[in-house]
Amino acid sequence: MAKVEERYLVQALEFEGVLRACLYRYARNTSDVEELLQETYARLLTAGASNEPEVRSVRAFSLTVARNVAFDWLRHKQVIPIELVADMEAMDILDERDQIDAIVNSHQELTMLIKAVQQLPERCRQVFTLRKVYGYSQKEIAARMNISENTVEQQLIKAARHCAQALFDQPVGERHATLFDRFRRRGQTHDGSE
Amino acid sequence: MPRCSTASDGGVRHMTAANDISAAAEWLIRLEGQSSPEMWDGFQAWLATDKRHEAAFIRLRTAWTRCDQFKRLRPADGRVDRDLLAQRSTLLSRRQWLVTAGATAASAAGLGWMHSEHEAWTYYETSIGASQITTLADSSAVVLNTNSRLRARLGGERRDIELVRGEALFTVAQDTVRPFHVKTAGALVRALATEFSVRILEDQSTEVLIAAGRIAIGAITPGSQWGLAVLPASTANASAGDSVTVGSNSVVVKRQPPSYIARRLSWTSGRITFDGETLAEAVREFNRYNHRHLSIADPAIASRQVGGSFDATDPESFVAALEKNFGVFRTPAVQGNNDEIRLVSSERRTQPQP
Repeated sequence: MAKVEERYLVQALEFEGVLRACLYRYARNTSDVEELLQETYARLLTAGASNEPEVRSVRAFSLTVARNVAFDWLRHKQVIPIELVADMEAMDILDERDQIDAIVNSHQELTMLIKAVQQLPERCRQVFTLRKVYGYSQKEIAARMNISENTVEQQLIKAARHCAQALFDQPVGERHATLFDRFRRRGQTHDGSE
Repeated sequence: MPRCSTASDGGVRHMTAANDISAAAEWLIRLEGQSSPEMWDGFQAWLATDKRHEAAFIRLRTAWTRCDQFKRLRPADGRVDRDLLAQRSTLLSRRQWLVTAGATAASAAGLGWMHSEHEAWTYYETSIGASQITTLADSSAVVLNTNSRLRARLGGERRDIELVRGEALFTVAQDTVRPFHVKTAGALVRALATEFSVRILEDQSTEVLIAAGRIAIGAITPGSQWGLAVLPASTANASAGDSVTVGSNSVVVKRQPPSYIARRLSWTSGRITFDGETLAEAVREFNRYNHRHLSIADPAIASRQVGGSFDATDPESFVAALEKNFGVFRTPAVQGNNDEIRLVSSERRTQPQP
């Protein structure tokens, strides 16, 4: 399903939390971080469609892109970033455990998703269950639950956003505990403010 | 309809990310519902407005596709429960979606469903000389060798096998969501997509032969519970062509010659194949498969090397080969004792046996 130009972006989703943490070092404001993250993804999509040589480490590349996005933004704000070199070092270390993490984390995904769905409001959770567990169409769900198709749609939209958050936007320390521990240690060393 | 985000000024825009994400989610779900050509055109136009739209859409779609793994939870009995994912239900202990296929004679005899704290085990067992091929519900294949017993528990998070006795070959179906674990009293193997055999040796150490792929293996404290069965700190990795022996306090990985693993696994086609094993080892091996035991009545021949491929349940053919090629003979059958074949060297062949 995923097209070839989407590969960097799709892989980067796996460590959205890392990118978010990286961007937070520059922006320190959740809504700015969201903006910078979306811009990072857009650039990864563009990079995936280019004819440049294949990137060896998508994690390292994504972090570079994120930093560039942050620099552009800081330049735009005419704020001079500090600790840039130190930050680069910290990021490169994040690379080593790429593959190990992928293996360790994969089996936790369904459990994590189940927990996320359990948090949804009742009706949203039920619509989601009928769609994703039992595979009913939106029309069938509407008939079964005696609600409008528009309602089904709204509930699924809510559920989709929620699941994307759960999958990709891990709180620090959950899915990438090892990475983040190291990252945060580095962060503390350099600016003492995490 | 999905809203458009503000136009790009070439730099990073403000306060559009949340809109992009909600618009992406709307498109995703609407297109999944009832899509018309007009809607599709609208979607394409939205995508073309801004690369960030497309990125947000791909992110949502990736998550939504990942959610397809929820269909694993669908109860096997066809019942529809819209509250299946409600918090109140202890979801992981629900028996309905546990693997029930492939239950064997052992379970039919009443050994089958036993409830541990969360999930149910299915037992598989073979008698001496028997072999059994089972396909688990995840499509992994298990070949149980002679006189062996294992139990399997396939849950939503992991696939657990516990080898209680004997030997089994596992051809593991790829499932990145649920790692495949095989535990014995003293060892734990973790695999993704591989083929390997696990055998409990006479001294209770565990031998693993890897035919394909890679595994991680470690020694565990006897009696370790599954709930705590994470691989211990002292682990080793092994890959196709390796043998691993896990003793009470050691994990030894050994790279074997090319045909070694295939030869050692020839039991899966009902044969035992030797290539330089001692007669003592060969006899021990044969005795695993047969009620009628071989014994060595002459210490001088115990370390004699033997070779060849034999029907595991036909010790007579092995003895015939010994007599023909290896200078080892059977003593005349003792009256009334058909359970044992005693082996001696040619020199002692005619001497009276005690």
